[in-house]
Amino acid sequence: MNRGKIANGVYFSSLDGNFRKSRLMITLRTPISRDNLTETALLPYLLERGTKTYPDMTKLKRRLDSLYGSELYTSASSYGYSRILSASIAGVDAKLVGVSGLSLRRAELLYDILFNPSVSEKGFDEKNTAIEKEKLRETIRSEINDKRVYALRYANRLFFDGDLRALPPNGYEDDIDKINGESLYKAYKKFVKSASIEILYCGSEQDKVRELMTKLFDSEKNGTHKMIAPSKAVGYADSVDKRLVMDVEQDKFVMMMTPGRELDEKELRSLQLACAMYGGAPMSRLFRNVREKQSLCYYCAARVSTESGAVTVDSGVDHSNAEKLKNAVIYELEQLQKGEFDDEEIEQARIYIINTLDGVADTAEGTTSWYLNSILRLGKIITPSEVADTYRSVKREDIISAFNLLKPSVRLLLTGEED
Amino acid sequence: MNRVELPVPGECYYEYTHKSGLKVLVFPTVGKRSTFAIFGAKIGSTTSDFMLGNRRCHVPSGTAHFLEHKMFEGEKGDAFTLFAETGASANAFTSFDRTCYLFETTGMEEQSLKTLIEFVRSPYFTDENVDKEQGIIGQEIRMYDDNPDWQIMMGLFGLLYHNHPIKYDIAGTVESISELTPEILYDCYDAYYRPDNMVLVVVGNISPERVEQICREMLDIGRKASKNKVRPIKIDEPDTIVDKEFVKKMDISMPQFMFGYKEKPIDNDISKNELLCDMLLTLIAGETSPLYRKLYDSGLVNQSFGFESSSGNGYFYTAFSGESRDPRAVAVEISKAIAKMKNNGISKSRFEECRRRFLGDILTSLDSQDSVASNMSAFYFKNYDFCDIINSIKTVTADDAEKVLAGLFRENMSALSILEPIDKEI
Repeated sequence: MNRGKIANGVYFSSLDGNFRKSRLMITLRTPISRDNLTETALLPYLLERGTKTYPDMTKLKRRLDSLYGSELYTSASSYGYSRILSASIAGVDAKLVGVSGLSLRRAELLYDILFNPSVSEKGFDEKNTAIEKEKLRETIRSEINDKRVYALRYANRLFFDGDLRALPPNGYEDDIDKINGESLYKAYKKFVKSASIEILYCGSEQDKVRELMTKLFDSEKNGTHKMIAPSKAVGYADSVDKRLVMDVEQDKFVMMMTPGRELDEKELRSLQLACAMYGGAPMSRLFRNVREKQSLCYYCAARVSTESGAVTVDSGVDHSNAEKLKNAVIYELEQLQKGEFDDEEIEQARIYIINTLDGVADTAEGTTSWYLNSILRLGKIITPSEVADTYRSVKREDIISAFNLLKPSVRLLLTGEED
Repeated sequence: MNRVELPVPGECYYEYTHKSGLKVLVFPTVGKRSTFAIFGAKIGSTTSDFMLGNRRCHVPSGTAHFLEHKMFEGEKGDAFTLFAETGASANAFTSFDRTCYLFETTGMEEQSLKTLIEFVRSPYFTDENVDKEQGIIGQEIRMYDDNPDWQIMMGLFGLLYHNHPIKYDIAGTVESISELTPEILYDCYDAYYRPDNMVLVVVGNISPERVEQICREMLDIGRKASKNKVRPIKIDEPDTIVDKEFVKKMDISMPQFMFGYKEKPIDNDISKNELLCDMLLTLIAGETSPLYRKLYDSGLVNQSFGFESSSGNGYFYTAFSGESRDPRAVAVEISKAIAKMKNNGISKSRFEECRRRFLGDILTSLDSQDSVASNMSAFYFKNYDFCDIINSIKTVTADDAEKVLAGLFRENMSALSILEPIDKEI
């Protein structure tokens, strides 16, 4: 994938693979802040209400249908110390339906959704703003519905306590009433002006799409793009043990661990390999021993955050076995930290990860997501094959070192039992 | 192998029938690294009563799903360990009508394919390993007990169906799976895991000839098919519903609903009828419909609003679901919109836009090997293929849709399943 600057603070990357589905994604990024958190969360809702050309929500959706059922996805999210406003459009590739210029029509529409929203001189339509504020309120409240996800988010907030990364991506309900169409438009303009922009495209007609984007972003060159603080690890501290009582049939256990310091690329990949051995793959210790041998749970998995290096384990367990499960999760980690594993386990984890990595470029979704993550994390493109080479270079001692960096930071049990 | 051309430039697949009766479908993809394979059997959670030879068999709810779990454990070890040697990512799923075993890999495709065929052909059930699995599946059932979407769907099925096993959880209950024994599992295996009741689909980086050769090598090993063919016993399900409304409390933020209709099972022209039903749902309640806009702007639904249909072994339902502060009001509005469309007919221009969306959707599904494999296996068990569905999308008319509409969404066959937040002390 080639990445090049097309305007001040605007980068365009594209890949013309053999895709039957093309995807264009535009991502705006500014430093995360408590001040405009909720307003940013509300923006995707308003942006989907209409553009200058298609000011009515239904007409905009009908336009998407007419472009062979194009899928529009808008979101506000956070990554490290970045606040991200993103929109993507995907659909059948132009060459498959033989419609020249289809990619350009989609690109124009996506640009308009992000940069030419339907607004009056005062700002976003007040009636639409009021409707969408309620939708955001419902989204914030609905966080409790899926208890597995809720437990993970709750643990994450405890893990990053006191850090901007603890801020909820959907913002705060208390902020909603203070927002109106005018204030939201001001926040929107400020966000757009200060954002650095990444455009990623996978599909045919890529030269034409690049040319169009270059032309459209020519007028955006006066923006002032704020620097974003680099990610950092959470330091070691006493582990927080939290018990949360809710109405559930099955307890949800989450344990988060920190490596205590920033990791270089080789250390990060060593930790990912270690994590695959621990609980990130079907041949892992947690799957084989905790699920299959002890029958304690249906799921028990571990994963690494590439942003912070945090390792999260989560599982659902019968309340009577919760303590047993917690001990089993810790026991398996301690065994691995002592180096109680053989080379076959390393090779199985390595081949599993590299196998998955090799398939990233097969779809437009996989490709754009991979490269965006690479840019957000490193500020540059790193290819799956480069990362695969790093995995190949990881040795047994690197894995033991990675395991031994981990110290528990949060242990959360969401339970239905009051005891 | 027979080459089958899709009505899309440059797309084709190959099909052949092994002497055992197994249907093999291969969809080679150019320029992709991944290979995705599915080995599926036509047995799902709605499989409950059947004749095996002269013997009548009844299996507890959750049997097909339990079998799926147990197939990964062989006499010489588990399948995950074998797949670990190739780096392939393996999994399985059980739906109402089928059970599928699958892997995805970017290397050692042939070895992975051999492993897939071998482990699915080699059941190994013992008292000990059956007992062990009950603990794991018990926790899977508990996980779904905490899932509002699943609970609301099971609530609706309980309203729509008197006897049909679709009303039971795919994984069964802790009680029903405690009845399972190795003998029941072997009966079920012998009845439904016969090659002539199965399909093997391979999509990706492998030649059709090589797949054919591997099938020849591998299908002679493993458990021999029973001489007794299975004869499913027809489920006695009256054309009435059980009740109109179900309400359950859960720890959720706002009410959730699923409003559904019990439809008459589709018995002919399945691909066309299923397609028209899905197009009608889109026209009635999709994002471009007047109903959606009215519900959304009045605050009665949010982005979680959606709809679905599913048809199979003696069942067919259509449903609308989402979060709402007033589910009963949503159900009234949906009924009104359906009645209006039945009276006024379907707008030709909206039907054409809908056709274009469906064509775009089916063509984009060709981009992902797992979608292609999953669709091909699902289509095969319903006796159609990609060509049928693409041709149907291109040729159906608004008149066809109106004819189908007349028989769908019968008012006396509708029911509403509601989840309400539990009352909390403030």
